Amino acid sequence: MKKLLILLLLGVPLASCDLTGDEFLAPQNSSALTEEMVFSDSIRTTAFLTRIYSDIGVDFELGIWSSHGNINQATDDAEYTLSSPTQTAVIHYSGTLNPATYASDGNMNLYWRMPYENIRRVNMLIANIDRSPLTQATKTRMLAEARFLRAWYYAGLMKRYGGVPILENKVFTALDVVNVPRNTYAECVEYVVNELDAVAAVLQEPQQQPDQFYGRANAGAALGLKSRVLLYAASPLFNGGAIEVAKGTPVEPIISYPNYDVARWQRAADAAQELINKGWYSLHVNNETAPGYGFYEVFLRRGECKRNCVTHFFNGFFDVTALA
Amino acid sequence: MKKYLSYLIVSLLFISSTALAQTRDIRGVVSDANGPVPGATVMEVGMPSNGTATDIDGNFRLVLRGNSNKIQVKSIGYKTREVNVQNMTNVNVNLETDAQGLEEVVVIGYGEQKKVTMTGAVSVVSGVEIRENPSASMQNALVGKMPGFFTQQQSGRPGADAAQMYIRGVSSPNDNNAPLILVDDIEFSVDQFQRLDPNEVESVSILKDASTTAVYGVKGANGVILVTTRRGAIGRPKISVRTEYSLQQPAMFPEFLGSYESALLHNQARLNDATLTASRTGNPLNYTPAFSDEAVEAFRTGSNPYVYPDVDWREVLFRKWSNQSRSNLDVSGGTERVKYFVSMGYLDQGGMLKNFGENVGVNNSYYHRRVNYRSNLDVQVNKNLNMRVDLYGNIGEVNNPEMPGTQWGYNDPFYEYSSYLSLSPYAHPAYNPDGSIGYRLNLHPGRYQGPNSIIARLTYGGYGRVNENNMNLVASATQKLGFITQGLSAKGLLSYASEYGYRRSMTRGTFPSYIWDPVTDTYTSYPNNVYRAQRFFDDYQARGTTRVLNYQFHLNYDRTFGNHHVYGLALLNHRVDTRSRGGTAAALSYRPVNFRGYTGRLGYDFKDKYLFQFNAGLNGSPFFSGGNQFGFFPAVSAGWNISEEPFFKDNINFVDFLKVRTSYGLVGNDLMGGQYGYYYLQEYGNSGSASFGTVHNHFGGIHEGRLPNMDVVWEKEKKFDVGLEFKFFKSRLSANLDYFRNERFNILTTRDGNFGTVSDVFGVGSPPANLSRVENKGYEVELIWRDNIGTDFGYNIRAMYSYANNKILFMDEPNPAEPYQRRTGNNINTPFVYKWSGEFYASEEDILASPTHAGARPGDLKYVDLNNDGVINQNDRTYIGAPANIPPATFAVEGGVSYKGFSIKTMFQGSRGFVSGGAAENIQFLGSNMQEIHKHAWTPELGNNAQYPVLTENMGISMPRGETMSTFWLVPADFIRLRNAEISYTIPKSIVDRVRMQSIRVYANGNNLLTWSKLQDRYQLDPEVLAGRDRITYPPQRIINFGLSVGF
Repeated sequence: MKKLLILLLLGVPLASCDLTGDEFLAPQNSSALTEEMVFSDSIRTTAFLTRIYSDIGVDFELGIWSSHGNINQATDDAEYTLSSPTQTAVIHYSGTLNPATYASDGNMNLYWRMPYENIRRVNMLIANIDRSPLTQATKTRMLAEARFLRAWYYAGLMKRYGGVPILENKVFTALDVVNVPRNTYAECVEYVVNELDAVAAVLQEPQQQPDQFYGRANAGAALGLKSRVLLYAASPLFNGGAIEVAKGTPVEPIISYPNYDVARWQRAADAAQELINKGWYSLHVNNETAPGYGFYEVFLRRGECKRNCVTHFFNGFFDVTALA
Repeated sequence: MKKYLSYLIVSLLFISSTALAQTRDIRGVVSDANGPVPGATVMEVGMPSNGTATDIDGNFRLVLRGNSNKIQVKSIGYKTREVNVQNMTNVNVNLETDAQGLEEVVVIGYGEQKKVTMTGAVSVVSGVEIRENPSASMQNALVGKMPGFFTQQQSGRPGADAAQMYIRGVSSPNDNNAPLILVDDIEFSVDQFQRLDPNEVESVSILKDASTTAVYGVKGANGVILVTTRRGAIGRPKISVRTEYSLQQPAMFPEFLGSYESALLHNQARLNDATLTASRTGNPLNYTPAFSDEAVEAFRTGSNPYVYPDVDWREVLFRKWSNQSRSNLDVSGGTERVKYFVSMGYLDQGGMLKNFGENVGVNNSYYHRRVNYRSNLDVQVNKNLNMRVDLYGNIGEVNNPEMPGTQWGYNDPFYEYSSYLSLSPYAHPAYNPDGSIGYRLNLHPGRYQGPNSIIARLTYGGYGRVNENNMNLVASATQKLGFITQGLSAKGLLSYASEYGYRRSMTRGTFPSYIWDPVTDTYTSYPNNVYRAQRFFDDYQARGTTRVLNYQFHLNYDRTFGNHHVYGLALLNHRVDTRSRGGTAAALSYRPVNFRGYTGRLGYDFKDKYLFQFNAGLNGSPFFSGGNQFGFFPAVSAGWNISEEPFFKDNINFVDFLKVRTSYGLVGNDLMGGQYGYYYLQEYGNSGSASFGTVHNHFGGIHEGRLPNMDVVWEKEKKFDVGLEFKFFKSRLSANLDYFRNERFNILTTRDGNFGTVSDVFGVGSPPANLSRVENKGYEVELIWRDNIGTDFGYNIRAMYSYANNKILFMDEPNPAEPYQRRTGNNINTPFVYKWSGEFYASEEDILASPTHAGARPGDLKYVDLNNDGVINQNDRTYIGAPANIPPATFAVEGGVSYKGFSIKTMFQGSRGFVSGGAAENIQFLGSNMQEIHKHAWTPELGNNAQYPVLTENMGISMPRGETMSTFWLVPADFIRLRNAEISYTIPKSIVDRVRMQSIRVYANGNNLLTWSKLQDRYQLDPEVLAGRDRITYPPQRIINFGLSVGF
């Protein structure tokens, strides 16, 4: 009897097991944030948008901190001395960029991956913002800001690559096969311009923007970016200026407009005029301290030039980097 | 009723006969053809707890208590005998050697098995053999001993000199190929393993195929290392004392050129650069030497060693020999009730660096000191219940110098020794004429500025000291359950392993050295106005505390019915593992991670001839979601002892034993590399920030983490093995041959970003998926010849060759630009580099006429233009076939001769089929200190006979570094070493008896004594060094050891 008892006692653990995921094998409590915790909370949802803002300086960096130099070394503006074949600039100028040499760390991250990360974040916000306990007015403003930012990241991509895949509001899941062809350059321009027109109608005018929103996208920033996108579209490289080897190939409409059209200059000029006519901005002039000092001040004086600098959308960013 | 009555009568008879049986003494001698057999077990038949062991002369004395009047005599290497001792008081037992090895027992997972009936692939090395190697880390003592066991020792630093080890090579690209290590069934980490004391080890087995590893289920795919420790045997207490003293020196240590030659080479490089610029631009030659003529002349004559130093830093910094001492004391013995093995060990492994801190009262040399203790107890509580309590562990201390200001924060004198810009021979004088620590500034261009004199930093910098404590407790109870059915037993086991440590350092950053001005004979302190050393600052960091609680419940069955032998095992294994975790698993740090395993084994043999076994593990892990938590890992195996067949036995006489065996099964791997964590959960995280508002106001951001994968499971491996074992010519020749093919699949692969097929347009980290497949196949051959000539002279030779080469069958690989750039089909560790054509660019004309890189110059390496497009660019890099770091083939030849008390043993061991090489400070001109090879750099005259590209201050495409690595720098590293040698003398019994001792043995042995390597054509590096390493690190050591072992 005693022996049976011993046997029983030893056998208890065997009996107490359950093969389909029991407490013993359940995940431990974790301190990590989850999707539910983020989008059911107004402050965290706002922080999700803030994250998209935090990368807007991407064009400003592009490898300038790298000892191997920036993207200029891929052009005839500069020469790369070390010839390390895996450096981003070398991959670009020697024409060896392909899916097998593409590495998303290093500078490539800034050129390609980071804009698409932020485009996805915008689409995530669009898809989830309704779950968040925010007022309708705030939601509308945040969505417009997010769409502005999406246009901003597309504009950066277009500047470097020409036409890129436009995802619209798509949020990929783990089971999606990602096979999105590049849109033509013309399609990208139209997409970005339409987006900016749409958000410009929703976003506040600079003068109406409350002080605490300084640094967030407003209607002035949207129209400013639209003007810049159209100006680049009219410029020689994109306005029928594809490189010789691409001429007549399917790649040509992707990297530029296939032909030159003088009307694109007009359209760029009209877009600039549209913003000027709003009367929101004027030139910040200060030639007394030193000639051109006003231009210098534009970048440094937070808030002060709110009414007259179209660049003020960026100032939030510059202040952050200065503090970092 | 009648039945019960008869039972009663029988038991009464039994009791009475027991009562009547008189205890009586029996004495005897156990011997074989050559003389007495010491250490043989003598047991009374029918009284399994009554036994003793023979002494050194084969004598035994046993008090018989039962009434079988029979004794059983057993000893390893002999056939077991039963002797009837009715009416005898004195008996001589002759043992016959066990030519077929019928009694040999092999330790396998959760049990042991007779070697003849094994159906799996297992290799064993005995503790005695391990103790012939003086190395401080267990791993190093196993090198070359077992077929299928691959090692690479990359460092010799005390406390961190253990070799990397792999069983049958590697099968996963995720850097998670470490075998499972079990010490007496308790899981050990690699660090714990290297701290084991060989004196405690009875044997080490490696389990290589599916049939032996399937019981470990999800932990078995990388193979298993099983260690059993020594336990007490019935007999008088035996006390053994062993003491050893070793001398160590680096097996390979680079020598650098002196000041004169270095300065000439540096000037030559400048002249080369200036000449090239002049010829390319058409401008006049603009050459400024790095060292003036005066300096060069002073270096040559050594006339002014304080201003123009020529320091042999090897001499100044390092000892010729470092030492190691080791002592062991163990006591073992036992009665029928209690058996014990108690051992203490002390190791003091010194380091190569001189103890500069001594001058200021601190010890900052490298060292490793360790105390190991073990107490293994077996208690026979009653006839059916056996209990075991083991308590063991070690307390250690690992010391290293702190060197404030080392470039890149390496904190490593070996790095500085190798680095031209840190410590050239003319960096600064070691000491001034007045004996103070010397320094100089700006003597040569490019030198890293800032760090003080290396002597000052080693003297005043202080030390970092890691204290470790590893403590383990194992308790188990085995109950025979004969009352349910014969042959059934149950075992419960509980173990608790704990490890903790802390690192304490004493450091300071400011202290003086002195610059002597010979003209005025004045001393200026460096840094300026520092005249005394700052006080020390303490730092204390806790190291990860590890706690592992394990409990197991076994049911064992083993019974023979006539010719049929049936055995089985059912086991439940629970493990709760709490430790510090890094990377993506950081959220699991110090949270218990649970593991549950069920294991089963069923075996059947018929007449020891036809052998069958089925093994299976069913394992659960919390890292996967619901339905994927459990994995099932079955394996089947079979064997056929052909030599037992009558048709064979009767016709073929020279064969003593011949067995074929095969196994096939599925095993898993739950080591997920650095990405260990819950893959089915997604986490959001805080990152980024922006400033909003006319007054700066900082807002933090939140981002989405990588997507979850609900379907992720562990890596799995299909293992196939077929083996042949035989013994010929009265077992003089024995052999083990194995062929295996493993296929690892479900290998976790991250699909995006770096070299995956998921475009970054995806926008977020894609989850790891079970995608890649790797094949790993190879073979092992082991041949042993053992013989005696007469009774005094014996010799043996063992030869072993192991081959394991892997091939990536599938990975998530995007299409490369050229077919030769496809990694699929290559070995996991094959480097992706340029192919050197064997030539240098001969001239400017040659550059114009050849495919080139931008910036090529005469004397640069000419790479092969693999795609024939006329340019050298990234599309010309390729996988080169041979892997780096982990050799696909390893071999050993071991021989021993003994004559009476003398014995000599040697083992040569080597590896082949792999490449290695160094980068940057290991070899690169002006990175590394200057070496002989730099004197043979390219000149137009030398042309393709040069051993090094043209000397220059701006090395471009020829550079030995990641991006421009080529087959010029990665060269075959095949090597052969005199790995182990021992000479020993056992003092004759007659003399030992006179001093009332059991045995005295004196010996000298060595580890890593001589090396021949192809790598030495280009490098002064140990062939096992980490390939592509950018600097010198603490080199593996040659050890010469003297020992004395005494038994009381």
